[in-house]
Amino acid sequence: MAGSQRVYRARIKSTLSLGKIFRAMELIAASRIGRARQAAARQRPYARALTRAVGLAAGHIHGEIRHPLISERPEVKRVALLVLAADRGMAGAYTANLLRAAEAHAAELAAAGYAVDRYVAGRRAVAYYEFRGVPLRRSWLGASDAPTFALAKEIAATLLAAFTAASDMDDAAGELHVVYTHFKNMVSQAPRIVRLLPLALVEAEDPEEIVVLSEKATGEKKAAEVFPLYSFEPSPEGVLDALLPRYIRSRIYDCLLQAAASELANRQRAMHTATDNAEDMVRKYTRLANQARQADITQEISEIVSGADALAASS
Amino acid sequence: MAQELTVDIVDWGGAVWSGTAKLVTATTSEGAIGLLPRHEPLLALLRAGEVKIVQAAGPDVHVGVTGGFLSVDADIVTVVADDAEVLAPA
Repeated sequence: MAGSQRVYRARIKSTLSLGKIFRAMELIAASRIGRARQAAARQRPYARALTRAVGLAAGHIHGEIRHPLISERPEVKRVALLVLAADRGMAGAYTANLLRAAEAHAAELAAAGYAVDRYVAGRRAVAYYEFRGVPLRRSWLGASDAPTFALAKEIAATLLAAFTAASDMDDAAGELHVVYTHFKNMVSQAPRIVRLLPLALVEAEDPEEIVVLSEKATGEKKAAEVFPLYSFEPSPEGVLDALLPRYIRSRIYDCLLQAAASELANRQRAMHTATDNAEDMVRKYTRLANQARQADITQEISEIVSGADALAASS
Repeated sequence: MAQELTVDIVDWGGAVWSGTAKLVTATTSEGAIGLLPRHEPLLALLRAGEVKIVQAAGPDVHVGVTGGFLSVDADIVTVVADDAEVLAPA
């Protein structure tokens, strides 16, 4: 019986040290969320100025706006699907939820007659696809919880190249959809699918107001603003030409940062639960260990008493 | 009345410099430009180069940019750079 006491003590010890590790990971995730959210906040003035300038330039072009990033490409029945997932697990169902959303969307696209090209960031998602033998166009690893602007640049360049490729090229894409986890707040994050390309320029309801950018799938319209007459260098078209790729890049960076914040929030929650579970287990094992000790003592006493009884009876 | 320009220089990593100025010079796709208060609304692409901010009081500020654009509207100058860095005073 002394053996079971030893087993319980050993379990308590290892569970305690696991609990410490979980707690540390929870704290690390918590501090990194702050960093990802700060990066998103720092990027906001840039994104806002960019969005406004794009709206301005588009509003000053008379007649129909023709730009490769705005035009639909009905001849290309191929959609680039950018999936932003995590590099590491230990974040609950974060990657599983995201991949489920991505694959449901891919199935819809396939049913509508589109071929789907997957571009994936995050080791977990890459492993998922590789295991299932799904071909990936391109993958990026190693920066899912602290994305850099350089990474956004690279992803944007790859996808813009696919979108502007000649339609007979084998990697040409007619649309770009992004699947990422939208960071609503610390407790609520949900997978979201956004059609990023081609950009939709939406006429504001009041003709005096200027065309604003919107993204179709989300159904969000950015508030229209009345702009004064501007002059442009070199020309409204030239400005738009330079701004749209930057706009895409900034949008992708924003998606990456939101995905990172969501991943870390999920990891923090998962690690918090794990810490709680570890504490519960320690409590349970402590009780069992006490019981085992009590049982040992009771047995020893009954052995002594029965020994004494036997001696008394024999004399 | 001495008017001043309100200047904000931002890049993807946040605000790089902000303050007021009486003159801002930059290199756009069309060439050098000097912006004084009451400039007409303008949206111009920048070339890689230097944006110089002449403050009413204090030293000139030189900011290196790698490209981007600037907008002027109602004496508010916004320089949106791909990468910007305040250079040490020359």
